[in-house]
Amino acid sequence: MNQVAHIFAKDTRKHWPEIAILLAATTTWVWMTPYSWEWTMTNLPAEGARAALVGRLLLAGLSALLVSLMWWILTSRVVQGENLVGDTQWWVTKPYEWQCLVAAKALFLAAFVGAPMLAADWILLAEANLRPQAHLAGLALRILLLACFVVLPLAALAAVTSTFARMTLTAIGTALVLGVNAAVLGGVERNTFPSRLGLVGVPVVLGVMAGAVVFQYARRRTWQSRGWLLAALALTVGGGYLAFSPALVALEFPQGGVSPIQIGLEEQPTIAMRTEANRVSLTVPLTIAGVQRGSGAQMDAVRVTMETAQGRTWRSGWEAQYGERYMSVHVTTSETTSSGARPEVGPPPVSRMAPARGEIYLGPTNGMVDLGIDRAFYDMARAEPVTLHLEFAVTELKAGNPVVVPMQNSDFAVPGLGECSPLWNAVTSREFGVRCRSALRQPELTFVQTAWTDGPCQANGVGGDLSGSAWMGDLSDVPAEFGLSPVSDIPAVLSNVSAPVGPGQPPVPRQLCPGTPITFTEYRVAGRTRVETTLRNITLPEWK
Amino acid sequence: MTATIRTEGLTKRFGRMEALSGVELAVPEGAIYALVGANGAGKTTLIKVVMNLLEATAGRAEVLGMDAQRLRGKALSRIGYVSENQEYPEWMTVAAMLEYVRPFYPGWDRELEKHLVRQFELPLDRKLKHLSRGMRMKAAMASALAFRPELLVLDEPFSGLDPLVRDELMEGLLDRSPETTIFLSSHDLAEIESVSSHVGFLEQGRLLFSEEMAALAQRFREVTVTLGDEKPARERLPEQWLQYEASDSVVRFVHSACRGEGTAAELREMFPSAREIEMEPMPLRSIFVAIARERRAQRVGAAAVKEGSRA
Repeated sequence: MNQVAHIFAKDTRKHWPEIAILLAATTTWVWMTPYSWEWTMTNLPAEGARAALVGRLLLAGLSALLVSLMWWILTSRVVQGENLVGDTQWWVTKPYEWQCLVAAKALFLAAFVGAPMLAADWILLAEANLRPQAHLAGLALRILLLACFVVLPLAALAAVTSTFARMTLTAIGTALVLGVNAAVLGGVERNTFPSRLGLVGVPVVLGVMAGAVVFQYARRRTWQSRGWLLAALALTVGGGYLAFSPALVALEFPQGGVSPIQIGLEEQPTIAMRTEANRVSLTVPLTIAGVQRGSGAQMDAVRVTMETAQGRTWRSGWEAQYGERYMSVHVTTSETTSSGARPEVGPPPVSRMAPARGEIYLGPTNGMVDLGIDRAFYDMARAEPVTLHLEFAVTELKAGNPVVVPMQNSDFAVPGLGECSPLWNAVTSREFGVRCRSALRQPELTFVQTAWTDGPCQANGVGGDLSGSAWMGDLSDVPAEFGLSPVSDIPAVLSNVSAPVGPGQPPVPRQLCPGTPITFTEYRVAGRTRVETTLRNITLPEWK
Repeated sequence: MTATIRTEGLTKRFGRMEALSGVELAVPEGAIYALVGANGAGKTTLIKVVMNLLEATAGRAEVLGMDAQRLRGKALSRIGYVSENQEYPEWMTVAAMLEYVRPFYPGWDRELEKHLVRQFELPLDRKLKHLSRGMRMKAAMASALAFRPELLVLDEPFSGLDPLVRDELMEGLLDRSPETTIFLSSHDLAEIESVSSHVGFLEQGRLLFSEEMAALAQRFREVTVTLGDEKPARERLPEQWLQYEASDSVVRFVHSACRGEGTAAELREMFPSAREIEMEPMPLRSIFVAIARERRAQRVGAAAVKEGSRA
């Protein structure tokens, strides 16, 4: 007798109503999701079609919610069908082989959670013209991520609780702990930049969780299994703090590299100040130099040491800077468009507008950094000149070969990235960027650059000379990300979207003319380093 | 004789509460062993430890020659277990339940299954959740007997059942003996007296005795001594005398170590002027009532002594 098949068949017979609901919800979701790709807040369809589209999007959202809910219910019901908590269960005194029981439950979840999701991924990728057969590794990784981050935690909770209600309450409790921890991490430490600690920490946490499930099936020692799960929770919580410890940051961003990047301060900078509860936030202007052609720099975090003339010092923790990037962009003759045509030679035009905070800076330029200072120390130190020593955690970026494609009114393929289309603003009846659909994850970090036209579009399709640019994607290099939809739909709002006219008058929107070349340049991590700078005799601003 | 179940110093604590205290037990092969005791005496705990449903705090239990803690998987295909407190797969019909458990047991006997279904008059197309308590117990019993287990463990199987169902279940059990060793617990002494070959008495987690039913019946006698001239004894009574009562002319007690003629001779020596000495056999229920009362009296006495010494 094959116990695995026998238990699987029994579970399938028992849970067919839940399975039917899950499959129906998944089908509805797959059917409705492509409609969301036609929609943005400003990309409104014609009046008559709007209601129908809203209805479809609502159905897509509700079916997605139902799919998630059914995963929860089905996992709980199938695991607790052979309840592992307590000693009054009928099955416990039957000759079940625990390995077969685990395998049967895993097979059930693979068949009715994993397989429908894989089919949904395949259909949606095909629907989005993203060739699913070219993403087999990513599809497999997505199913693994679903198993690790949805099914395993749900199964672990179900294995150490006796009812769906208790499992749900435990999950809510766990979510509260993680939420409070995230709030503490965000509010106190302000350290949120990604760390490679996760590469070790996440598998360890998942391993402990899986171990707890296996142990519970093998021995049914519920309190010990709960202890293991608590250990996994403690590791998750503790890992959040460890990730930003100075030792790990030092490991991640080694000091003393040969990076040409230089970050400096002006001699007498104008430092802006704002006060918060127990700290003072200073915005300090920076000068950035040494970013080489075809490369970039991303400032990930900063740590400040402040020293008074009397020798008293205060040092902050590492604080995230939310990935502000500095770069140098040149288009060379070696680059080709997707259609094989050569673009114009030479550097791209530089923005005529003063770059706003958070926008893209081309070439050697200046920037800003936010420094959080302990309020008590600031109060003590502001009466006299201080020395500021800044350490920057910097990720060096290396540009790949740019891909240049002509702008079109409808969908157009961008090799290596996915399917893009103009981002249309129905209010101004103009494009204001591009949106790109990519398979299984948001694109790798990509710099999008094109040229705006102020006047009417020319028949030859050549754009104007005003640069519009934006970043899209992230630096991760995994083939898939965790998420419900396999299609990442990312809008990129380009800079300089409208032309200023005069004081008191609304800016005039510019347009992206069909045929205008758009350059997509992918950036990857070239290295990580720490850059330091010291500024002496700084007079701190007074309270405002 | 080989013991199908053997425990040595078996102890189970729940926090500070000691549910089992150094239990030494041996259930001989082929026996119908009744574990009796009041509610809360530790019967279910003992059965759960034996079945590896609970982990012992100390001591060990051996079942079918195997450490009870290793009792899982294939080993359970030799053991049938039915309990009044089990959570059954109530969504299944009786037929589906039997069909589901059948492949788990290599020794499943289809003919015996059919026989049991007929004997217990099981409604195959009814879901377990729609069955009466008695009918559910019969369905559970059928699923536990149809594979001809070497050991059948029953935790309060007859509790709350009407007499007819109880008799049907007992009949089903007796049909399986001695092929199957049966270990059952009950707090209703009358119901197990007629079927058990061995009996163990558990009180507050301690096994007071464990022996063959015949030997127990032989050992306990209700003694009535009609006195002549002498006064009844008031002090230094033998330990084997339980529930001693005396009036001016009659002494009554339960003798817990009766050896037939030998004991009769001893009593005649102790009561030389007795006009009559009667030694009547006792039903199981009376034996346990006598033991329980004696134990309670001892506890009350011990508590009073403790209280007195504290004062």
